[in-house]
Amino acid sequence: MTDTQKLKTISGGQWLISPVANTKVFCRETFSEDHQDIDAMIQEFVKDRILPNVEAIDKLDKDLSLKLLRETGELGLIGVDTPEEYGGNDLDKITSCIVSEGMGRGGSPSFSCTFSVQTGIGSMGIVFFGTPKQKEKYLPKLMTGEWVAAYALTEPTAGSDALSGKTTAILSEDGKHYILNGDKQFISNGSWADVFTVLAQVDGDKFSGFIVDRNTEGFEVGAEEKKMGMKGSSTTPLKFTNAKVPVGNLLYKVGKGAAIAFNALNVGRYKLAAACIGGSKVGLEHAVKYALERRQFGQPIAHFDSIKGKIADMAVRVYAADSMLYRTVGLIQNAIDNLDKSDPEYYKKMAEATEQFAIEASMAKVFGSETSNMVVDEALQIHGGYGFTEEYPLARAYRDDRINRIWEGTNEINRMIVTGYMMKKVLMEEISLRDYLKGVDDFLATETPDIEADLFLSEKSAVESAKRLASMVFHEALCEYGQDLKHEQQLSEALADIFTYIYTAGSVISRARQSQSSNGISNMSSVIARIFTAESLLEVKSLSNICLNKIFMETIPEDFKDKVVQLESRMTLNTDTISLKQSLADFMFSKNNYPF
Amino acid sequence: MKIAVLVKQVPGSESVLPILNDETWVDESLVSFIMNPPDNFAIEEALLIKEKAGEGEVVIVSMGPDRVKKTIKEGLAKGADRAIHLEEDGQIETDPLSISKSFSTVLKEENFDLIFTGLQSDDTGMGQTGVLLGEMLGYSTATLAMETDVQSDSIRVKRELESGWFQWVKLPMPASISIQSGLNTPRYPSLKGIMGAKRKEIKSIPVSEHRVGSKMQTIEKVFIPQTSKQTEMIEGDADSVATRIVEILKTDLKVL
Repeated sequence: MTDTQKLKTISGGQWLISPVANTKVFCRETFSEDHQDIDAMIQEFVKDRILPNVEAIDKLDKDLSLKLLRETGELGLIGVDTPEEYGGNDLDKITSCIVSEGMGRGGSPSFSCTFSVQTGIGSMGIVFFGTPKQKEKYLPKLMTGEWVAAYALTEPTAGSDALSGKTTAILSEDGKHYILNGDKQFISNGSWADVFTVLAQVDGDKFSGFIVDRNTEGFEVGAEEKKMGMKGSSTTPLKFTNAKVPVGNLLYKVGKGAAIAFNALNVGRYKLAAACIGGSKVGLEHAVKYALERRQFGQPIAHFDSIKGKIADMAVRVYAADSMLYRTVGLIQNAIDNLDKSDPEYYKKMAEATEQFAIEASMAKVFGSETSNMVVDEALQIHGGYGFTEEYPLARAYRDDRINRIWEGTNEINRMIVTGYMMKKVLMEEISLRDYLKGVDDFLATETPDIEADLFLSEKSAVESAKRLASMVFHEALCEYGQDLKHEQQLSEALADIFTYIYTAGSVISRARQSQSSNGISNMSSVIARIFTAESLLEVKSLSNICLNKIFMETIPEDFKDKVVQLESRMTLNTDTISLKQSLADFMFSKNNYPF
Repeated sequence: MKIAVLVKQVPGSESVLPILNDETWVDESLVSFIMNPPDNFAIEEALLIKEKAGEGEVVIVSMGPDRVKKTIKEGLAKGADRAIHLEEDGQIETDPLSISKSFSTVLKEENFDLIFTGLQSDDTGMGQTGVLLGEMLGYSTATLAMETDVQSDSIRVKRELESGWFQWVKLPMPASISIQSGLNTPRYPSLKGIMGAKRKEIKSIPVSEHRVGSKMQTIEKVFIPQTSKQTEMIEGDADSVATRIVEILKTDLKVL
């Protein structure tokens, strides 16, 4: 039994109209003892086995990467959340995130990629949708790393528009094979994989999944891509020329390919966020150590206020990303814990439960990848000219990180998903936005908002106002554009960012409240919560104004504007973020690592 | 084959080491603890012997306050079968003779065939407990084993001597042997091992029931070594400068 079971079941997106930090959220501080032990084990493993091999892996050393992959298999890391009967460990999604994050800490995003394709998109389709026979044939060997897995969705002309793939599958006359024709592009683990999950259109229009063995007649793996980063992971095109795939290798049902593709992505998204957060922690630690060592003007650059600001910004951002990721995974696990494990449809239902939190998974992906992007950039900046050389690890980290905003759905696509799903939930009245908005006048009429007194009284009150402002903006956008909101992409992106800041601020405040004790770490958690809330609400204010000017075509009605101004004034905190960042940075330097 | 592995929890090499005001020990509330690294090799050697024999039992034995349960669990997660925890409350014991006496009273009735220890602990570095315990129990003892070879009622071990010399010795069992680091590659606990560890028995025995005799040794003062910079300008002709440099490298720095 995990702690998540004590959480109330909440469906995705509900946090927008629920009071901030009124329920327990899952976070690192609520890890069970098993979670902590597994976290310690994987950190030990990557420190000993991955970190010393980073450069060799980067030379695309197949033997080494596959040897390390088998080592992760021996430890049970590949099959962390795969059923025990197929060689997995059947542990929870939190553990699988801990594993992804741990891999992210290994300093080799290339190996992390090889590993995550194996444990994630490469095998998840079979776990979720495979027949018992398919599971029996493929999963045990995939879980040990004896066989390598890949996942082939993207095509030369179908990237973000994933369902528009042109690869076709036609049932052969004798009914024994599907004949596949077409090309796949940017397939991770391409030249190393034995088993490929391939998406193709049956009869030209029924999007469907197939398990393709490497030695399939008519199937070829193309040459390695020359990439900007991730040079130690294999990425190739695939070519199908009348490839004969046995009918028994159809995955799930004809026409159900979208379920396979998108469920793999939902899981992939939060796991990617975990890997990004792991990488961010390492980048931040490099920055902290270097700032303490590097001397200029007769003192370590860690003494300079500008550097302190950067260190604090990174720490706040990483803490925030970590808080919202584990809150999300806690929600997903909670939904899964409510399923009946003996149900033959258990894994399909698990996929549906995960999809309930597609909004949060996409937010985690966007926020996590933009966190690692910010951290590698600022950590490199702190290294100055040395950061630009290959003598230090940041140059490679910078190149390796760039893909994270592109794959598992570009961040642009993921922002559309956030706003799109929020829209769907409001239109289906899963989120009763209109009722919530009815309370805004009363809310504004109350002098001191009705929130129990605690450490974060002003922060919580400010986030309450931000939720109302965001809801008003969102409601107006839906009134103005209806379903067409999805075509207003800039507006949708701004809304997605507003939602993400609010969700994350709530996550950070909840986590900081839950980790209150007398030690320095919890004091600094409070400092982080105060900084993040103050700064993110400034962003929400500015984004809301941008949205409203678009929705009302530069003329916001007076009575509406009145409310906006009142809410905005309640969102403005008088937090001295500069002084808080100084103390946070000093704390980071005293610890000489990422201590949260 | 019944093998005990004595395991100690020590401050990690990356931990802060704040010294208590009375200068008798470090402030444990701020220290992060790990399994004594040399003990990893002892556990691995015991597990390898058991696996090779295809039967037997590996028992983790540790002394310390409640916090050492974490280290004990790590040993169980790696594959040991059960554990014995001599639980201290309050002051922790640092005198190897007292520690060995306590262990000997508890372990006597277990009748282990082998007792393995790491070569020394990373905190006090005494390296005595295994040998003392062996003597008290009437076992044969050896230190610094670099290789083991279990035979029917004896064990051959390759011992590390000085100046690159080795020695094979044959010991009748039961035996207590300290294991040199680096002789094997310690495994990581697997996910299955971690999940399974909590179902394994940890027998807790209050050490106060087994304190024997008075302490022979106590820690007077704990302090951080003072470092100082010394610069020696070497003057003279090339030959005498070279001679002096070689002398420094040999005698002061001991790198030649």
